[in-house]
Amino acid sequence: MKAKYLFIGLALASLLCACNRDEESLFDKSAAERAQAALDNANTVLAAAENGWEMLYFANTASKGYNLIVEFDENGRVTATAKNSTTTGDKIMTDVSTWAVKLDYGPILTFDTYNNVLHAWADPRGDGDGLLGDYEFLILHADANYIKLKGKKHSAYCYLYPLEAGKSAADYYAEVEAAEKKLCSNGNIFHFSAQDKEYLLHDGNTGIFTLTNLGETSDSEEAGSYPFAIRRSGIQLCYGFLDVADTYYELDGSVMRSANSSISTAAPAAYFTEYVTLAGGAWVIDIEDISQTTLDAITAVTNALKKAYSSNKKAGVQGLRFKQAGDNIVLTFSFYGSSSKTTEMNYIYEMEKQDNNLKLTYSAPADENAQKVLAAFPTLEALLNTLDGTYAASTSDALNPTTGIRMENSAASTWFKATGKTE
Amino acid sequence: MKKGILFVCALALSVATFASINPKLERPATETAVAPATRVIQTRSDISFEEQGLQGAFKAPAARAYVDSIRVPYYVPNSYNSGTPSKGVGYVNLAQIVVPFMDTVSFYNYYGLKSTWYLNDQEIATDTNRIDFGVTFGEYPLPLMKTASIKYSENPDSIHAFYDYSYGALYTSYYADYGFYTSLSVAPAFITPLTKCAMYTEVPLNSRGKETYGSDWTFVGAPASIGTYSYGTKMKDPKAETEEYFDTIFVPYSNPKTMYIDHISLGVYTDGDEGIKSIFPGENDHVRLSIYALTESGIDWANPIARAIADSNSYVGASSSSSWYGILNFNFTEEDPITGAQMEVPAIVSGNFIVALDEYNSGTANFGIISDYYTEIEGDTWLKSPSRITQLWSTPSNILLNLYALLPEFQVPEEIEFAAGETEIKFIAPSNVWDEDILIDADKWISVEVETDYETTVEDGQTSYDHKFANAVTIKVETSSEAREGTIEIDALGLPVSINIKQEATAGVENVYLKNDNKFYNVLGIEVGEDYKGVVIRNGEKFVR
Repeated sequence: MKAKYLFIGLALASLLCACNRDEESLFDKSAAERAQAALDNANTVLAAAENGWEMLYFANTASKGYNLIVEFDENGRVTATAKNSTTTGDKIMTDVSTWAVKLDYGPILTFDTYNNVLHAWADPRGDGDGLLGDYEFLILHADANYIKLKGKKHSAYCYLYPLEAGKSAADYYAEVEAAEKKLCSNGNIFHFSAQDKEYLLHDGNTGIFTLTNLGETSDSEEAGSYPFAIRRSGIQLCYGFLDVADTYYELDGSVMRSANSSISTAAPAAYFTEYVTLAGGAWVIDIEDISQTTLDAITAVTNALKKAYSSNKKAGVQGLRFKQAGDNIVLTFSFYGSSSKTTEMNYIYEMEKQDNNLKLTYSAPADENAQKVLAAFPTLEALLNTLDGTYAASTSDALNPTTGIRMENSAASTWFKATGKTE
Repeated sequence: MKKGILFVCALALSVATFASINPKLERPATETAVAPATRVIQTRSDISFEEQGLQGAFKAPAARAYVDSIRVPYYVPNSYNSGTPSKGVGYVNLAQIVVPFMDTVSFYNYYGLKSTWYLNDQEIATDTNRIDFGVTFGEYPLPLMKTASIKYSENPDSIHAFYDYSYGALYTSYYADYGFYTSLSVAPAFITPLTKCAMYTEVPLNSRGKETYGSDWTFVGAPASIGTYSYGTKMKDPKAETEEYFDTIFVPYSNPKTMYIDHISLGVYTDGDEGIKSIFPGENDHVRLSIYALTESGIDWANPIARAIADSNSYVGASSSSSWYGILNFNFTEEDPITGAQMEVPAIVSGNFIVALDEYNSGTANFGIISDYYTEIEGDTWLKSPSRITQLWSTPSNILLNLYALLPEFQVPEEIEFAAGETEIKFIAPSNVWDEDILIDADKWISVEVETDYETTVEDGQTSYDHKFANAVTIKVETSSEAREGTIEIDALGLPVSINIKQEATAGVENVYLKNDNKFYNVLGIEVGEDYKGVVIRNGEKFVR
């Protein structure tokens, strides 16, 4: 009972405190003055970048990011440049129109006359929706180094960074495309690390990361989508992963870092398995630059094929690649036989991670057709067995091992090189 | 008891406050975070067709042999927009449609583009985006309709020059990415839609109606249900003696040459990768695709040129962002004579043909393609159709049947003549077949080498390959003292080509005769005296003195 009175007393005391009207203002200027200052600042900052801005434009929060170049001048003209497959047909397009900063519920950057580059995303087009983009943005932050905008209608964040001098649009887009290729080609799969936890980032080639728990494929029910844009120096997210505030990850050797988190790839041996089982990728083995033992085995199979299919001048081994097929990891053996088309047969392998190594063990033909081919060409079994063993993996590009991975079995003095390819 | 309740409430409050329950790996909602925009696609599925004025346009023909159902045709000329001429991507003949066995038909141009219309190459309408007329198409083996070039807008510069035919993706698209060798098997499936389509469905009028695929059809006005799915169609061959129906969808192709078809794919709608089970609920379910010859007397249904089966293993999701749309790949196979294994082979077809989906052994699934967009074609008249190329294959009126095919070319002279003493002739043969794919058979005294060369163009630092490249052909013959003729037989991806070879007799030592003059000659043929010592020749005999 006493506790009840004590509780009521405390509640009344708190109400009395709330009635105190003598609190000092938190700001040294009025709201109107502060708004005007923000507007002035935005005007000044936008026009001050001598070489214009690199704009990472997200049409909406479900859209990939696009790279624009925008230059604002003090006379209210804006020159916008874009190159993408969605709005410019992969050609560099530039258009000039006008801009203004006005006060609404904050400083608003508006592109107030039609610009073929900027309004392409906002144009409703034939279906009334168009690409669901914005041409008016709330200015959330503006200084000489960085501007953050928020689309007024579709609420996506956009980011602007000053461009360096002497950079032509052609050079800029060539560098962006090179960075995109380096990071996202071949279905590369990343690890996102924050707060001692790791997640997987799939689908980088779409411009929208799919974030999953480790060991999950991108169609996981728990997966989340995170649009991003490629910068020449890293990756710009529209909004941060999970509850991590970071939106920009800067290249730092083999890692992309931000204040509280990082993006990298798994160690090569683990990546080899991850890429096949989780990213739907295949490792295409270079059958010419390969250890002599395996090369001899390939030659033996080719000779057998040429003898059997003497009427086909293309007869021979065409390729080898590891991939996932159904529930199995298989080696796909491609060859020319009687047909003018490549024939492919799958042979099941066990793939087991051992510390930093990977153990490959040939198991069995994947189906009846593969069994028949194996029976007809016994030299093929010898080839399959030469790939057995425990391999140490290495790569020359830790940010995208799909560009080249080397597998070395020191015990058997065998090795092979492979590149990743999504199927 | 009250303490217990208080404790539970406090616990619940603390859990709700402090625990981060986030089963989906999406960013949590915060004050500054904004929920991702959800795109709402206007389907208009709640608008009846009567309101849209389509009832008349799609006036159903009178019920025919089957009184418990009617046939509702719906057509959309296949779309274009697969590229511009400068890009070199394949083009689609806008409205090449086959309308077999129907009494009444309406045709539309997507986006309301006006054009001239032809039926069997006879102009039947001009400057219109729509034609409605009654034709007894059963009289025609398979009439073909097509439009002329389409003016895309009022801008005179934006005229799309449509080619007569296009067979899926062209070479150009995939040279840059994949090189020549694998080009035929990795063409971009979704860039180029098919060229023609014809599609029907049979809508039950009541619960006793004939079985249709899918059970959720309701008849609320033609064509009532295209807002959701289109289903396997039931068609009847009017030339068949019986009235047995078969389920088929087919697409005709005019093919004046030899076509090398690597494989064929079909756009399908599924609910993600798992959704393929809705198409193939059973382990052994499949769709069968057959190629039939199409002649003036019709279709030879009894003798397919080639057949292929697609099952759940043949499905490929289109993209990670929307795996609802995928393709079924149909690969042709035959038994390998050496191993007995089934191996993929191309289908090589000469002359007109149809591609038919003529067996679907599931019977329960949603087989077809959804539409999510209406196109205004005339005033308040709307037509279910794709809004843009990315949605093209989600329309029920288009069957996205892509032929990954090539019309092989290998232009060589009919005859080559070797002059006396000439042993080698080299020439450039325009072609689109890679040398590795050319098989050559020639007489033993003739050898042939083919080496592919191709032209490249560089624009904006990007190298692209001309899909028309050239093959350097070198023909060598052995010398012969007698004139002779031979043949070189060439198989360029199924295209038979032959070259007649003529060779003149090689000039050599002629009119050799023995000089019997009783004189002596040395080995150099110089006359010597009778006292000459050494090897001498007289009357053709050699001896030593």
